[in-house]
Amino acid sequence: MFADLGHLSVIFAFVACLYAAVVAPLGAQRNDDRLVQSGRIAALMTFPLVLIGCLGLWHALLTHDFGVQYVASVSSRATPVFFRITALWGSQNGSLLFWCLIMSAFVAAAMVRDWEDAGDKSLLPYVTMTMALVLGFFLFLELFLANAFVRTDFPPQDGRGLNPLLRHPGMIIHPPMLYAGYTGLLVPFAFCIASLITRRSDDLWLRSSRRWTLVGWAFLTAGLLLGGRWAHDVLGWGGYWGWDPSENKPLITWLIATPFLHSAMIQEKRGMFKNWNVFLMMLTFASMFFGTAFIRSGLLTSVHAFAASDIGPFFMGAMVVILTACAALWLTRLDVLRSENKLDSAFSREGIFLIQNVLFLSTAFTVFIGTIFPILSEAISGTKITVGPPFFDQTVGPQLAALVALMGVAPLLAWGKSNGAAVGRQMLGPLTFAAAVMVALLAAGATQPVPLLLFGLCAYTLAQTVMEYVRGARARMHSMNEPAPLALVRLAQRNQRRYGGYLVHLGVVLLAIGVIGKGFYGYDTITTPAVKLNESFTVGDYTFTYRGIRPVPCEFNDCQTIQAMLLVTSAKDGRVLGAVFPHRDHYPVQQHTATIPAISGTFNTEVYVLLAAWEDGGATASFQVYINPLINWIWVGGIVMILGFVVCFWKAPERETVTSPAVAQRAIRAGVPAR
Amino acid sequence: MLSLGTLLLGLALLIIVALVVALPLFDRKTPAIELPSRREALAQERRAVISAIRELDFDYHTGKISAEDYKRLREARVARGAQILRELAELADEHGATDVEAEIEAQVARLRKVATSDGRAPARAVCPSCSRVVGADDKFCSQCGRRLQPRQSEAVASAE
Repeated sequence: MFADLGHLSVIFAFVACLYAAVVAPLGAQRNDDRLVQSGRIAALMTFPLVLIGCLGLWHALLTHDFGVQYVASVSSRATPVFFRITALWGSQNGSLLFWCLIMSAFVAAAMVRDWEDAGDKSLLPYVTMTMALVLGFFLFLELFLANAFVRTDFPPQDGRGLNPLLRHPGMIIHPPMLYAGYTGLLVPFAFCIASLITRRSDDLWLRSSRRWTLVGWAFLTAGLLLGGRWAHDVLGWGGYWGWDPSENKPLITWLIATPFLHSAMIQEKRGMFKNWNVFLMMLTFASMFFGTAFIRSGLLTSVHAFAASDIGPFFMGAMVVILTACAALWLTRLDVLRSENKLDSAFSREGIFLIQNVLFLSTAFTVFIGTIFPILSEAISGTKITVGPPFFDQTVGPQLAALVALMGVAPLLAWGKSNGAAVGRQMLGPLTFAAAVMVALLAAGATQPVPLLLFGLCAYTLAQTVMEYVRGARARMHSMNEPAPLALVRLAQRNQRRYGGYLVHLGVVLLAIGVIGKGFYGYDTITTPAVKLNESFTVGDYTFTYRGIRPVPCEFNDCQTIQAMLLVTSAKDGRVLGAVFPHRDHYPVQQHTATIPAISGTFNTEVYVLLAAWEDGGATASFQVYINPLINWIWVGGIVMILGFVVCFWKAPERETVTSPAVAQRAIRAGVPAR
Repeated sequence: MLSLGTLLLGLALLIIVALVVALPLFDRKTPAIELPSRREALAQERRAVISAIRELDFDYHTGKISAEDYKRLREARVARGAQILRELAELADEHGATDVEAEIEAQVARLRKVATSDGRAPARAVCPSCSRVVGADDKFCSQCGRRLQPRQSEAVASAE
């Protein structure tokens, strides 16, 4: 009964979207605020309505209502309560409903914000319309093409259980994070469309949606990292990234949203790049839809194949129509979006932002081409050719390295025009530091030139970013007579976006160090021939001794686990370091076997062991061993990036605005904002 | 088939949502869009110019820009800022006092009236904690938030 009520509620949400999408712009046309407000409330109501839908499905999952087909396909009587809750997004139809829930939450949040400002008020009808249309589109898919509420006349006794791959903590928060990332970026998109419709030439849409863009970006970043962590722990890839289409899709969106965050600043500060920002926003939106269309249609094989269905072609067709309409709208507004200023000099912050933007987009395009290459090659030559990680490493890697280099130069440049000599002077210190790091690495035996240079690059950018804080704090200490710690805190408070952004840069550098470490110094070995009982083999600095396999109780009650034990000793001095227990979980109902790695080692060197196969009841077994140097830096870098976002986003409490005349005068002379 | 209970619950939900959505339609008609005025656009550009000047000052202070470039760019931006201020002043002249100014005048007039109605200055008090002047009837200090005792305000009232 609750599931059916949920179904009805989702239908009402769909109707509310249609109503809002028609009534809000009608109100604007007739200049009648009552209609606009009614549309706004209808859009707002979609959230509670879709939530009732989700609660209905959750109820069915928790009460084993196998009469609902979806419930039978993603849960069983043996599924623990926790996974019955997360099973809501365990397959296509439910995950689409969950996607709608998160999107409606963003729609509702955008609707309840303060719209009293006259400028914002002029955008409201069209923001409502755009958001309601997009949400309505997804609700349409949910209701008519991928309905999670469909009932069967012959309910099975038991369900199939949750996909074994999805039983991981990372999988529980990774999809909601990614969904929130995508749908968060819908808000700036809606403001962009509203700005175009109302022929506004200013940066109101950017300013009004700035914080939303940040939220969307942060969720996308967190979703990507958690997805990597999940792949690392569950898929047995040995690493964090496999260039799988389902990973590339959010990466492409991230690679477009990130330059947008930067170029939006240029429009706000200099009134330039207006068309470019609209273009980036539309591209962000397009990337999210095309990616979803490709993967969900089953056109591309991915680890997300479990989410494939027949909504793809419809999705694609509808998206072509929507994007053509957006592009047409934009083209008719080109005259409104002329730049207010000219580029004073290419050697300026806006100049380097432009280079950075182009580089980001070319990286996104490279990933895109690599991802859809199977489709392209099939269309051209008739054979599906998949390009693997080497293609991506060789084409994307250098571009990412160039971006890290830009991060070390861009903060040195001023808006308008920069001073070459001053920039050179400020580079000296960090360059010296980088040289010292390279010499130290060389002395420690790192002789490969490419990773050595890349580590040097990271050291330079790291030092330069830290120096930015030092320079800013020093300027404050000098002009405001503040002690160093206070100056540092005030500096970040007064310009949260800049210094929060630099913290994100620091996170990226740490992440890059992890990528370089794993990419150049990591290696893996598969033991051939198979290892006999009590036989040893050595990988890197570690010696492994095979001690046999045994069945152990499975973590979940619908699988059988076979666990191997390996004793680990130091290859150098024979010291016993411990034991590792890689295992394989077999799920008979789903006919799936998960190879779960044993992960150990130190912070700087991870040892990742997989049980590949065994024979004669464990008399021989073969293992795949990965040595992953510095991989943990990736997760640390990710956490620092999210901290950077918090600094950008944190709304500092209202400040005391009265400053003593002496301090104010000093500040005016010094050119540092007193407040 | 839906059960009767589900149908009734669904119907109730539909009615509630429809009522909530229709609520604004019963309000008095007000314009949906106030066209962005020239003043608003100028005020926004003024904010941008101020922000640009601040950034420029900061860049100069952290050694990112040479003295002559700084001078040239700052002059250009200050000139633009001055032009905006002139335009804003002209607009204010054209349309008479702005709403905010009218509001301030009204408040001042009201206070004057209170002050002169009984022929003496209005009762005033100072906050014992931060010394800000507060109204005699105020229950809290508007600056530091301290609770004000009626006695305290009376004690220092009508000093003038």
